[in-house]
Amino acid sequence: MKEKALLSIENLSIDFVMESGTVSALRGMDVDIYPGSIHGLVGESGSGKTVAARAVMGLNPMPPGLIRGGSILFRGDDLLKKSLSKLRKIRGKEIGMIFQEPTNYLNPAMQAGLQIAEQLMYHENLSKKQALEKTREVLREVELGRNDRILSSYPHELSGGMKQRVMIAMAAACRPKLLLADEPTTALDVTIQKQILDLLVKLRDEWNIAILFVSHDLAVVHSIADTVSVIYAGEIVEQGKRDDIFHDPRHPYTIGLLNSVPTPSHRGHKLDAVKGTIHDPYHVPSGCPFHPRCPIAADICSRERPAVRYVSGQHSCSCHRVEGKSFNGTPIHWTPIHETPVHGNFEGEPRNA
Amino acid sequence: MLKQQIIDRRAAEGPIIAVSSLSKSYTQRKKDRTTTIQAVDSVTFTIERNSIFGLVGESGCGKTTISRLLVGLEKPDAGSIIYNGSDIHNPSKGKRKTAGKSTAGKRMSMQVVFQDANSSFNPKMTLRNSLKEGLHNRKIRGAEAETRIKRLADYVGISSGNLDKYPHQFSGGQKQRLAVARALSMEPELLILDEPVSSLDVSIQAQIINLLMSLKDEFSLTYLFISHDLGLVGYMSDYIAVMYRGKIVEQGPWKHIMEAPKEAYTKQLFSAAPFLELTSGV
Repeated sequence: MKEKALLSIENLSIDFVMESGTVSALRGMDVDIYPGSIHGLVGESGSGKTVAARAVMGLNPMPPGLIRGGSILFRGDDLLKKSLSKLRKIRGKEIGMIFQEPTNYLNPAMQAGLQIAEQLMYHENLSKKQALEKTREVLREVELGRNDRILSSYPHELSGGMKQRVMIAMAAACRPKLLLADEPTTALDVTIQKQILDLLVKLRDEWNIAILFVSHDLAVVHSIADTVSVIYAGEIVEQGKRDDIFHDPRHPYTIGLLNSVPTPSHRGHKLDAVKGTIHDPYHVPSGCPFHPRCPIAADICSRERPAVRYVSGQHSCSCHRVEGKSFNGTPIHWTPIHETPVHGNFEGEPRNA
Repeated sequence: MLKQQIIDRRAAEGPIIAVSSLSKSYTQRKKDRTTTIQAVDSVTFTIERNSIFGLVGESGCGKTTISRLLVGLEKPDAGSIIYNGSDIHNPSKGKRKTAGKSTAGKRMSMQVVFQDANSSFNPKMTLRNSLKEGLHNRKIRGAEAETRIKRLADYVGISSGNLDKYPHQFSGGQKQRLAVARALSMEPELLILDEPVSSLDVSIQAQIINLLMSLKDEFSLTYLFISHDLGLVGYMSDYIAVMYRGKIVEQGPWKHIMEAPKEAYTKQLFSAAPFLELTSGV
């Protein structure tokens, strides 16, 4: 990918300052997204992945949100420096966004067709009639067909999958260059999820758009993303091409996440899950934020924040214990099939109760 | 739980639960017309002791209605549920094998862990009191109740000093652990796990799954595991049933269902689900 990045998030840090304390949601985030590719941002709840997607759109409430530093360059212009009126010209036109719960983001008192047409009326100065006509085309692109019923339906009359398509139609109506998808399939059944993922891939291929795909679901990210960032507690711990992350993971957190996913081939073996729980958001651990849960943490991990190291060309990892191609110190256990059987012996003595 | 109880369980024979042609429909009245939804449509299956029976399907296919019918929260329109030899909804019909044990007593040995741990705990009660409630119903009080609660908390890996907190002070994973502890307090034989991990993060999810697997062996439990996550069901279940629109379209040993599904719907479902089958060091 020698192309220029469409979106470059550089060293972005965002805090939320509240009466109860300050939560640093993002600390020095760097992500580049290229046209015609899907970048998966994976992390668990509270890791800051939604904050990052919202930051691009300028949707984080400020205050309590506070940009501590960094920039969000979209086609070379810093979105963080733009005035609200300039941002409004970009939002919905050049950058579209899809949310997890379409129900919460659609206006319940407005027909779906009109909600899509609104984008066209605002950004392309079309009349209501022209906009509705164009909406039919957009609906066909998102595979809802030339369906007048959907145009005149209210959100509650549509199924979850259809609502998500309406959402995508809204985001895609003006043919944006960048689509931000925040957990777009989490609330959907697998068969509908497949259709929505296929649709996003189709938009990427046919329109050459860039997609930032935020998800907690590793299997979904594996099926759709070209490049992947793994985020933990507001910091990107590992970044690379999809196969780097899924087949040659280096960061202990990435490895722990992958080991946590149950599949039929792990049957009879205990899942090698990441231990413990994420820290209290008000008190980020010193050094590497993952060190309290890390199986290979050393002294340095609690003292210094690890620098970004490159494993290979585009594959980077922020861990003191990972040095170039090999681990610095004890190698970490990474095999998809685990060796400790979970099933005890049935003849064995049960714990006295 | 008494050691003798567990030994008895291991010696017990026959399926723990046998469901035959179970049906349940709901009627909806809208102005002048009524619509009937067949939530469960003549479903038949049996669950063997000490096994994990996985029930998969998409939302609205009737998975949860089955669990509600099993625990007696709903009455079936037709069909029977034979639990440990007697009919749950029609006690006189079944064999009088477990005579003397009341329906309520039998129901106690069947417990449910719900998907949303938030809404399954009373927000105004400390966790200690929530755990105590069930024990009180079984006439276990005072010091005995306290010891049991401490032991239950140990089983699920929660420090018993934390039990005087309220539900909102616990994380989702901790609440789900406590929901498992509460279910275990009734010394159940059959646990109905209705999407117990689907609202949790992957790393926490893995911890709860490991916990459930070790508890199953320790107490010789039988699980009815309801989920829409095919990878998870394939990991846990011994036997899998696939539901679609109120019917079980296919059921069998896990290997048959996961590796060689026969029905078109099962194939479609599996091809839609993204799987993470990885090999190290490519």
